Amino acid sequence: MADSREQILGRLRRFARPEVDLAPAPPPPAQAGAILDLFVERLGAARATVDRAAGLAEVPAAAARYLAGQNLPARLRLAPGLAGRLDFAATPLTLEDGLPEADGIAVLTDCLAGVAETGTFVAASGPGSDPRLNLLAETLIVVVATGRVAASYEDVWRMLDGTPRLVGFVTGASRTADIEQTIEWGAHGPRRLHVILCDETP
Amino acid sequence: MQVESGAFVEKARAALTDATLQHALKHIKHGFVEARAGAAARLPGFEAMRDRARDIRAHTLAHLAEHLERFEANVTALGGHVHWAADAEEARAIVVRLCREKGARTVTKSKSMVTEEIELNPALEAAGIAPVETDLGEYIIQLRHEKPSHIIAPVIHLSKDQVADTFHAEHPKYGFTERLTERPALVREARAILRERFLKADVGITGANFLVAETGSAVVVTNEGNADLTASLPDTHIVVTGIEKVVPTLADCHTLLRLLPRSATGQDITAYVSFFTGPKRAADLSGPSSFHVVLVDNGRSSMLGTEFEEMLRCIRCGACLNHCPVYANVGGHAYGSVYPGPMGAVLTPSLAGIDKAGHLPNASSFCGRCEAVCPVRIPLPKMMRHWREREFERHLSPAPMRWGLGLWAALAARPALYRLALGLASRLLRGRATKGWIGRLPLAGAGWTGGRDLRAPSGGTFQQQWRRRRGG
Repeated sequence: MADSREQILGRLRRFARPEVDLAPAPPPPAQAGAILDLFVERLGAARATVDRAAGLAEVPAAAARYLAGQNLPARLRLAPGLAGRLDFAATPLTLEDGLPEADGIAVLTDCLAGVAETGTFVAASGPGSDPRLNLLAETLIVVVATGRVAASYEDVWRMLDGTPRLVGFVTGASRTADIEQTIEWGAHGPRRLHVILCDETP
Repeated sequence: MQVESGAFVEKARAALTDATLQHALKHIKHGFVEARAGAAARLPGFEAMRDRARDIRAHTLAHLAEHLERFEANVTALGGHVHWAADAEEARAIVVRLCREKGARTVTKSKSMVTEEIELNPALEAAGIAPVETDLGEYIIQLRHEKPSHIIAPVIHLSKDQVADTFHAEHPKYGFTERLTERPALVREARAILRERFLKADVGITGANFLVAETGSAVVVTNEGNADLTASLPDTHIVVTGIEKVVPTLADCHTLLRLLPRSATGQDITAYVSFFTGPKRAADLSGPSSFHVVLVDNGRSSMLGTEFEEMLRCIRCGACLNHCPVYANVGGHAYGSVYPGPMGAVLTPSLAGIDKAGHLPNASSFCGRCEAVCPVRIPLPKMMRHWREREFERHLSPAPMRWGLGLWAALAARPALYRLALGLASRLLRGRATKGWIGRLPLAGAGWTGGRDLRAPSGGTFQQQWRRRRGG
C-alpha cells in the first residue's frame, strides 16, 4: 500500500504544473438587508418555523408553546449544552433522558451559529454537544442566539477554535425526493424544525 | 468497473418504448431543469462563481499531490488514517480489511458513487459483512438488485408503485406486511427499518463530495441526514472517495458548495452539509473512535496531462444528465455504466477503456446544453469528440460509418469530383421530394428519415451559392 501511495503521488507530481495560479478568494456573496431579517426569511423558505425569545428564561415556555401548537406530547429531551440551565417548572413539559432512538421524540438544543445566507443553523461536536440527538429526534427545536447569526458560511469558521470532529450546516428538516421527485419530510432525522431566536447567548 | 455499454443501442431502443420509464423521466424537467434555472437566477453573481469554481478545480488538479499530502498530514495529526488505493481491487481490499479488524457484521453506507464504481458491496458480502444502503434511493435499488440510474437520484427510473411492490416483497420479514401505496407511508416504513440498522451498525461508510486540504475534512452533502447518522453512530467511520475530490481551503469548498446543490436539485443548500474531521476527540461526548479515508485512483491519475484532464474538475452534480436530451429520453440504465449521461460518456471510457465504452461518446446530439449548465464549465462535447477520434483511430467504430467517412474524405480531397458528386446527390434528393420534403431515404439515410423528414436541397450547393454571391 505504501507502494500505491508513492506510485499515485509520483504520477501526480509528474503532471504538476506549479505555474497554474489561483487568484485570492473573492469575498462571499454580499447579503442585502438586515442579517436577522434575512435569516428569518430564509428559515421560512426552508420550511422551518420561527419564534423569538428575549432571554434564555423565555425558552422553556416557547418550547412548550410550540409542542402544544403541533399537538405533540409535552415531553422533551435536552441537549447537554442546555442541561441544568433552563427552568421548566412553570411549563407542563416533562424532561426525559437518553438518546431519542424511538419515534416521536422532541429534542431542544443550542447550536454554534446561524447563517443568514440560507437560513442554516450550525452544530459542532464538542464537550457540550452530542450530534446524535439532533439527528435522531423527530421534532427538533433549536435555540439560535441572535448575536451569533452570521451573514455567510465562511464567517462561521472564524467563531471556531480549531476544527471539531463534526461541523454540520443544517437547513430545514430531513427530507427525501427520491420517489418521483416529490419531497417527503422526516426521511431519517427530524420531520419538523423549529427555531427559537434568542437575544441571549446560551 | 463493470460496464455494459456495448448494448447501448438495444437498451436505448427498449427504453424509448418503456411506458413506466418514460413517465418517470418526465419528472426531470420540473424537478431538476426548472429548479436549477430558478436557483441560478436567485443568486447574484452565479456565472462569475462558475468561473471561480472552474479555476479552483483547475488549480487543484495542477497541484494535486501537494493538496493530497496536506490533507493526509492533517488527518494523521488528528489521529485519523489515510489509505491510498491504486485501483478498485485495492480499494475493496482496504475497506474489507478495516471492517474485519473491527469484527464488523453490518455496515451502514451513505450514497457514494465511488463505492458503486469500485463495486464495494459485493466484496463486503463475500467477506460476510452486510452492507446496508441508507439513502432511500440507494436502499430501494439495493433491495431490487439494480444499479443507480442517475448519479444523484438513483431511482429516478422507478414509479411509486414499483417502490411499493419492492417494499411489499422485502419488508414482511421485518413485520411490515401491508402493501403501502402512498409516498409518506413508504418513507415512514423505510425510516423505521433503517433506524434499526443505523443503531446496530458496526462501521459507517460514506463517500465525500469534497476533501479540504487545509483542515483534513471530508465533506458530505445529503438531504436525508443519512450520512451524518452513518458517520456519527458506529465506532468506525470510513470515507471512500476519489483522489480528485480535494480542494485547497474551506473558502474554496464553500464556493463549490454554493454551486453544487443549485446545479443539482435547484436547492440553495441541501438540508445537511457536514464536515467530518478526524475521529472523536478526548472531550467529545460521542463519535467514532476511528476515522479512515480511502483515496481511490482507479484510472484518475492517468487522465492528467491528457485531453480528458478537465473531466477531473467534475463535482458530480448531475446537471449534464438532467439537461441532456438523450439522457432525458433513455434514462441512465441504457448507458450500462454507473456514470451515465454526458459526464459518463467522457468518464466511463477514461476509467474502463474505450473498447468497453465505445458507444457512449456517440450517444450525444452535440447540442451543448451539458457544457452550458456545468458548474465547473467542463467542455463535455469537445471531450466526447476526442473519444470519437480515438474510437476511429483504433478501428472500434462500426464498418458502415468507417466506409462512409472514408468515402467522404476521398471526395473532399478532390474538389472537382466533390462538386460533381454533390450536384448529382442534390438532384437525386430533389427527385425524391414531395412539396420540398423527403419522407424516406435509402441505405444509411433510412436511420435519419425513420424518425423525421429531411428538407429537400434547394438553391444549389453551398459552393455554387458562394461563387454566385462572391461574383455578384
